[in-house]
Amino acid sequence: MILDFPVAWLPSLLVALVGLGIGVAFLSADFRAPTSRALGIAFVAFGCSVGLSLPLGAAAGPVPLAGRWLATADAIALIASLEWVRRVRKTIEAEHLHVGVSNVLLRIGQVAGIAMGVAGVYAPEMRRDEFLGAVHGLESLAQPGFWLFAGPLLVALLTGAVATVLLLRAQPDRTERIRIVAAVIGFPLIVAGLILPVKVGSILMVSGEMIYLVGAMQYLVLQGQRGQFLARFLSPQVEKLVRERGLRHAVQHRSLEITVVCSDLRGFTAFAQAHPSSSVIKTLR
Amino acid sequence: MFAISLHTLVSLIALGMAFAFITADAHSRTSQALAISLGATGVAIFLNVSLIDMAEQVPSWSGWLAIPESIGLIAMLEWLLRVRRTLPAAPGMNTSTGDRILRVGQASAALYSVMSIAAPDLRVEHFVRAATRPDSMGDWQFWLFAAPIEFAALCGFAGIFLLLNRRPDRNERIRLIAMALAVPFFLAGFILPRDLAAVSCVIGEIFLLVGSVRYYVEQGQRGQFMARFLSPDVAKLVGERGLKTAMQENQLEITVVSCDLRGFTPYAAAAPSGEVLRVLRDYYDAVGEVVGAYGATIKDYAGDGILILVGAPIAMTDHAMRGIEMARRIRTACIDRSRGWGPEGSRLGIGIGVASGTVTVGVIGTAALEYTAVGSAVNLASRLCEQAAHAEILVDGRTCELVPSHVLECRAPLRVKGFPEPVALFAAPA
Repeated sequence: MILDFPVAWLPSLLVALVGLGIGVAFLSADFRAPTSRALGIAFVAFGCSVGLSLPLGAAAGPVPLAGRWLATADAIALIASLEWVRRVRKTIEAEHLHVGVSNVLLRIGQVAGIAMGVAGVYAPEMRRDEFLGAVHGLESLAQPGFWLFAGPLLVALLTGAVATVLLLRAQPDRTERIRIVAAVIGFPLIVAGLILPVKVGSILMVSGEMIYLVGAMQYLVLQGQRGQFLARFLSPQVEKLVRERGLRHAVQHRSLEITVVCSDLRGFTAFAQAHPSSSVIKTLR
Repeated sequence: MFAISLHTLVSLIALGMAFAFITADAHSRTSQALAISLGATGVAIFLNVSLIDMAEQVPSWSGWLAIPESIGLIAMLEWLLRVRRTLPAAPGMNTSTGDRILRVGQASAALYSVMSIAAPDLRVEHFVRAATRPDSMGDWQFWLFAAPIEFAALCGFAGIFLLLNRRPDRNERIRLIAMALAVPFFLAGFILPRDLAAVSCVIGEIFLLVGSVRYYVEQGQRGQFMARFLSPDVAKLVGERGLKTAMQENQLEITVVSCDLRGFTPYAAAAPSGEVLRVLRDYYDAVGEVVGAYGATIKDYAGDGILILVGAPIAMTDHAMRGIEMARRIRTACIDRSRGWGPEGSRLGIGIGVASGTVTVGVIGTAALEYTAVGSAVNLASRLCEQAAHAEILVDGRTCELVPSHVLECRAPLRVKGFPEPVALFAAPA
């Protein structure tokens, strides 16, 4: 079999496949949760951007029309990531949160994301030549075109970071903390991977994706374990019904003829009055 | 140069996924096996591509590099064995055949390593570098190594098929199908040219990823569903402090509010049960909303009776005042809504009892757990509730001591079942 698929695109393709995989996994598995929806959209957009940027923009000269619009995928990925932070924050009790501050910050970051997208649509050649994978050394940072994109990106990154720190200061429970910390480590790696040369960049991006994944997986497993524990508050039969037939079946209403048995202890109120309540609990057990 | 990072990426992804499984779910024996399988596959890809496929000089001990590959396969089959153990088998079902098939597959995977160690040069020439030779699949030497691997994979497919045949629940089915889809892509990685092999392996990894994420999300959703049967406070207590703390008994002074509907029993006997359910749901919603707003906990629903704890599981200093205010709001909310409850002319009413005292709270039960509060305040609140007329809130003496004197009006002491002396009685005016 002869392939004319340039080998140089393969690392980006792999990064993109993993991004798409994670995105599709979250969208398909947990579409109803607003946080998973934002995370899924971010990863799918990121996967499209990384996977298509090289093939569409590889040749020198003007970027084809389709390649021009890839910058919107970058912007969507960025905006959706910040949206994810916003939605995670909503799931945490807002008592100690500087809700207003982090909301404004995240909105500013999202506007910066839009600015980056607009710049990319208007100057796709500059995006390709001076930004994506273009940082080979300090001198690459001197190019004005680099900052046209890196500037808004940096703003978005910083606002996201500050909002995340505010989030962690609210002391969310352990499950939430794990996925937030994973995002804090993974996100900068992915962003750094975007601007560094493909060889190093792809490894950074895959590492970032994997760190996200580790955090997300822990979050899901802890939720599941909590569920298994909470299931013990239900009768084993109800738990089994849910496990075997799914949630929808379990909440359906049905009319059944059943027999109800009711029992209580004679003299319990007086007994509970006369004894310390811990010994009453022992009796109940 | 690019190829180096390419297979590094593939093994990085495999190792990352292995790490994700092992850190997230270290206690589950299925996740352990899956993590070992992915980890070994990651190591195998990295070592074999860098030391054999791409190296000028193949080390003489290269046969030993087959071991991680074998471990990857053996652990994959072990995962299936362990999934089998978690699934209930129909009574009288013969499960030993399935187990035996998987064990034979594991032996075959081990055989691959033995072959490789015995004939490392043949493996390098005819198997690892098969993609670079034309017609390599016609060589018997190629099949010397390919056959044990293919056979192990076939055993795996047979195992998956047998499991799916047992009609496991939807969640298990998804991860089994994901594995069945992933394995061919991993197998193709053995024979495809290097770059394509990397893409193929990543696709296999993605299938596993999607399957596992779906599996865990579904588990989590079940958790959230179960949590709905519990007060959010109890669920949160369990989530934050763990099972052990939740199981500990704890003495707290709390206020207990008990409410039920006047005239419910005759109404429930006469009305169609769908109609009764609608009224109950409306009533539970009305009370639940108020209870949530005051940070109180619904201990249980029993027909038209609702028992509410103020100050447990999380202690509150102002539980008595909160309890009174909450009872008032429940009264208003229920009176507003009760226009639609029951037949015209004999609408259902609401009665409320409030009592405070030290209670012991904790989780009890063996088969099914229950968060419970024990103490005379609990009994007294429900007795007072029984005595209350429509729209009346009856309050005990201890609660009255804890709130400012103008809040409540005094009533004549009341004789209550189970209490030797008449109890001091107060009422909260509208």
